[in-house]
Amino acid sequence: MSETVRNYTGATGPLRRRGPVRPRRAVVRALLLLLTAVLTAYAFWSTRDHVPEGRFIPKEQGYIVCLRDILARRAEIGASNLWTALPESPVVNEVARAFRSDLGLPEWLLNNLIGQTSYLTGNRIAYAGDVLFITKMTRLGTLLSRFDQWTPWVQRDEAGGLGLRKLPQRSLYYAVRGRVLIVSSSRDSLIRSLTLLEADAAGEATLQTMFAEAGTQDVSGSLYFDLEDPAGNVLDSAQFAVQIDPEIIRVHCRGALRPGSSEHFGPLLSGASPQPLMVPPPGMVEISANLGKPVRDVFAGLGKAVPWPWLSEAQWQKWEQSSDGPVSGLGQMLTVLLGPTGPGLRLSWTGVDIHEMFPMPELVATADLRNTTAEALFGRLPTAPSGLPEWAAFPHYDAQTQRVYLPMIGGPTLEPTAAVYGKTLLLSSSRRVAESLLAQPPETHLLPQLGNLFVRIRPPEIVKSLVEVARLLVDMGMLPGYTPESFEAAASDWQQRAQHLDNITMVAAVQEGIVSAQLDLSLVASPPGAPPASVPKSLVSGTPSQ
Amino acid sequence: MNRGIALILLVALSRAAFAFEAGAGKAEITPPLGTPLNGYFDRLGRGATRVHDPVWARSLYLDDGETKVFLINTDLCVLNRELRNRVLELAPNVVPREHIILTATHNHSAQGATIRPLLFRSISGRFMPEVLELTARGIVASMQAAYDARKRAAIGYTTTTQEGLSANRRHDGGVTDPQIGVLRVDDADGNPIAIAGNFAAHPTTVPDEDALAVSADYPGFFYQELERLSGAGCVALFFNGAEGNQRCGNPENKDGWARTESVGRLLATRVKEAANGIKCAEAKLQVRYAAPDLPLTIADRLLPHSTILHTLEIGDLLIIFFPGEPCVEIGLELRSRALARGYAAQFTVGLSDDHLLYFAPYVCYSHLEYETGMSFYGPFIEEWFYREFEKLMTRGNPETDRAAPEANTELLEKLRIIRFSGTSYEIGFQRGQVFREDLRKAYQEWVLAPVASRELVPNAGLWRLAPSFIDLSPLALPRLAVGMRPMLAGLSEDVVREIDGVAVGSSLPFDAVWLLQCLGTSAAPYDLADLYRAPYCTMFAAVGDRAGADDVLVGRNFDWKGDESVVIIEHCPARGHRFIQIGFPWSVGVFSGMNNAGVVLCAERVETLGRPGADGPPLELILRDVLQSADTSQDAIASLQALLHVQGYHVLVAGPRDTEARVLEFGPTIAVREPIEGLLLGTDPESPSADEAAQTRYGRLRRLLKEERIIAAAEIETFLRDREAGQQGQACILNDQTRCSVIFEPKNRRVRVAFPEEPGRLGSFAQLSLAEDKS
Repeated sequence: MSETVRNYTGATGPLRRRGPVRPRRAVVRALLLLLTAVLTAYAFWSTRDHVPEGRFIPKEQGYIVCLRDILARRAEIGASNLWTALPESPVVNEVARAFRSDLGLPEWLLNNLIGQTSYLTGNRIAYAGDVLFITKMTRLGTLLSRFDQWTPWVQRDEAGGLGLRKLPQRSLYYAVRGRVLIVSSSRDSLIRSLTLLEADAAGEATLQTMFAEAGTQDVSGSLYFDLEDPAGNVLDSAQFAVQIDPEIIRVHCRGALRPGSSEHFGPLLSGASPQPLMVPPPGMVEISANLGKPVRDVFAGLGKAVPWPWLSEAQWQKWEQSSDGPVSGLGQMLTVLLGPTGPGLRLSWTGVDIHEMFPMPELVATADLRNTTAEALFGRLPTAPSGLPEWAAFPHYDAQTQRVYLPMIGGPTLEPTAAVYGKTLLLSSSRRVAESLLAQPPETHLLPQLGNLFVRIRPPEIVKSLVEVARLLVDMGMLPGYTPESFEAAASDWQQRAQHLDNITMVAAVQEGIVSAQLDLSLVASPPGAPPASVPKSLVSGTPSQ
Repeated sequence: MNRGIALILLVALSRAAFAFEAGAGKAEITPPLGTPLNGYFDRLGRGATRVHDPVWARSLYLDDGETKVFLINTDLCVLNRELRNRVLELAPNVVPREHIILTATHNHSAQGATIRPLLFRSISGRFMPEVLELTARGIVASMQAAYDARKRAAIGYTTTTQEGLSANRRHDGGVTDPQIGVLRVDDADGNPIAIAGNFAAHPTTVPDEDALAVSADYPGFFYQELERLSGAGCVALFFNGAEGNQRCGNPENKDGWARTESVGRLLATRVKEAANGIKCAEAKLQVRYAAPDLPLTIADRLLPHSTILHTLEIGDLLIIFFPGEPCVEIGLELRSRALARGYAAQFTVGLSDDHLLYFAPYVCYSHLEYETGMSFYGPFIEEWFYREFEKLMTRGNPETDRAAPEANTELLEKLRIIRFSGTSYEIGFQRGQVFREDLRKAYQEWVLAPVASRELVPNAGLWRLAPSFIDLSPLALPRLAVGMRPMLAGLSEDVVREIDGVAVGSSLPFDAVWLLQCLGTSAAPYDLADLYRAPYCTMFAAVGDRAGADDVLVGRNFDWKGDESVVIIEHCPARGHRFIQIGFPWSVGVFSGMNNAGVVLCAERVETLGRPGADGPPLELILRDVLQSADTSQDAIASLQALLHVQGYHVLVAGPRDTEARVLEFGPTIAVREPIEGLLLGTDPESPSADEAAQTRYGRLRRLLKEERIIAAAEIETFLRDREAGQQGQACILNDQTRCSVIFEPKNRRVRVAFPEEPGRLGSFAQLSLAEDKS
């Protein structure tokens, strides 16, 4: 059957007049053309981009997050090892699945509905019920949205003439203004967004300013904390930007301390500015800190910032003076030796000795000896009473090896040891670890970035160590819920997942009440089962210290 | 024909021509400095700081032409499984693996470090695979040296006395093993290849100030002295005996290392003197090996479920190897059994092939001492060893396993009466089988679950430091069980054997069943209300004229918090009285009962009188004991009046004669109450010790009783069904917690029992009789 348009006059055969037909057809064509032009003009006019997204974002929101090009990059993001590295959970699985393949809509439709830039915004960080999702659609997407009310899965909600749409199955409301699509699970939030006075809206200029610094980062945002929000008693506001690449996820963030928090953080952070950070000893967790203060002052400052009873100046003094028993003997050794050191302090968790009397984490610290010498330092320790057995829980100084050690219980893993190591004081919970490190030349490299705190965590090694410890407990029936068999199955999964996340690194700095940080999640790009790739971008290959 | 005879002769001659062969070798296994030493918690796992004298592995290879065996002594504290397995992997392949007998001297100054399981490391220190390997290779080197040195040899043995070289470490003047066993192996020229001494005492003589010094302790001096006395080429060996509760004596009254040396040298001298008198000859060897399943243990996460047993017979000498530390009483009993079977001598060697900690004999089991506190296979583990070792002995009658008796159950007018008969163990076994599910459920709910959730774990000391994600049950259960051991003191062996039978019958460890018996009583001081269950009852007796022709009648409503069902059991024990026990499936004890001598016992908890003490058995177990043994109510009263630890109970005791009914009130002291006007109430309603509900309940009962001049069983039935208008709960004689009503007729040896058809409504009474003899 032909789809050619035909006109029937009602006359047939010889009665049909041919003469006047030609001009009538021309008129119809002209009308059709005109109609098409009008419709096209209407389509263009009705889908014109005349309302900016910023018009629908309230000015005083708790947070605004900008998502760039997420849709176009969703296959790439879905393929990231991040999803396999994260602990198994329905939420993670759902998000990963959505990125990888299934948003429930055809690709061409998605590409027309969700623009390159989208915003998530809400009034409270700790409350997800009023989130607005705002994006700009293509003309086609906007045009298609005109017909959505005829589809069975969309209901119309007049809302006093605002013409909302409701997706009952998803409990979502949305509206389209110009080419802007606004979606929310909260009807009230959506209505508020649509009825904002211009003066109450964030506006396009504000958004551009807000996200200009983030550049082409995949996700960026600004957060404004209430006192009740997590971290709200510390931070007033924060900005962040996230870049997701196959091998690394990089987060930059910057937070402004709440003015009132200086009472708590003042002693710790006052006068702090980015400092050179020395590379910490290698370990599963590595920390390098430099707040420009001696360790003792940092301890006292932490005592003001964190409400832990043992973290106080008074406790420090108590430890410093008492060595009665292994625990207070350790306290004395640490306080006496560490007190005058600094400002640089490195701490690493090198492993867990599963062969010790009970599994013990092995820690090693190095602290700058800038303002003191080894002799002065070790001379501060109380002299051991004469006749004390060499295994008594009292800090012993061995002049021959120039080591201080504190016999506690068990073997060398439970024997805190101190020695001078280059220009630092080395302190370890384990004599074994201390001796191993002391046999190597001291580290003199600096991290490439200035900062006050550097932390690197290596999940595969941590998981491996924890599995070994847990296995000991399972063997003795001391880990509820696991038999040796079920534990091995679970542990294998944990270890496989952890192998995808090579390390997590953070560098943070404080200056004039602003805390800035860079967080990198280095993923292993190799397929599961293949040997883990080497660390992609190293922050440790810094320059030698001056 | 001729060829056949020649073949027989050839075989016979070749057998006869084979010479007994033996070889001895030794290798040093001194660990590197820094290795933790085994045996003392006090060292806190610290490493050795010096070597005082070396530690050794010493091996003796014996071959009689048919049987080859390695007998190895090591100067180690224990022979743990990791070490044994590694030695067996590396050992020269010249004897069957079952013929390698590894022993340790129990020296407390040699390496730990070879034990991997976490919970043993508090004693043995950190696990050092390299020390395990070094030790295993040293042991194997001594075996290889012994094998390589094998030559034609002869063997002989003797025994001598130790005269003050050892002492009982728990009791001054306590039991010791007077014997020193001596084994001598000579070469064809009569020169000693090896001399071994067998003597029972802990090698724990190293002075405290040298606690971190490596040493072989007194066996080290024994070796030195014996080899000096015996000349070059003789290897001295030492096998410790049943040393569980034995320490070294100090006959020369020395101090420090001098004492260690004194014991070692004196022992060597006595061994050498005895060895000089041995006439060596060829002997037949027999090695017997078994790997039996052990009795169940509450420490099943710490200890194995099966073990290794060895015996070695050299002619008419029997050597028995224990996989742990038997107390001396066990060694002596086994020796007497061996001698009775026709062996000329017997040596006991402890710490062989495995380490299951200590084995305490029944007589010591309820005393909370180190040896009993480290003994986790029940109070009758000695008998298990006797049976298992007697199975391995080639002389005497073969030992057979115990037969499992079956329970006899009868249904009587809708009541489930169960009759158990036999020895106490057999009765317990039947009970365990019949109530297996009830017992296991109760153990799970009252013991395992509260321990796992830490309700039953002390929130103090090191316990408090354990992270919450750790299940402390593997440690806490054995400690809890050990803590309850003293409550066994004072119970008759019959009751303990019955509990043992219950454990075996229900496939639970002895300690599990024991915890069920005593946890209620012992939990009371800790306010563990859910675990604490005891009867608050109504009980009374009518005596003399008030009881009419019956002389004495006892009525009893048995009230109980909790949802357990009451059972009625007729006990027909092999000795003592038959008795009816009204109690619970999980409890061996009696809360109400009567024996065939007409002795009636009923117990009622009176909280105002105090809490039951945890330094003796629960009252209900004592009542069960008394019912089995008491011929008269006077016997029962005398037994009960001797109890010092019981508080917070009233016990009604009655007998068939009208003068015998009494109530014993167990408060800070024991008060005895007699009937007044022919009536005896469990609690005097006017007594200050009666709580408000008891005052109401017993007040009502007294009024009812006083209204009747003659009180027969029919009247008692009526009283037991009474629910006073306007009263609720425990204020009523029959209340929602009443689990059964009982009327005892001691004169007729009859018991009538009724159970509630629904809470607060009693069914009809059924009658049981103890009059006829059912034995």
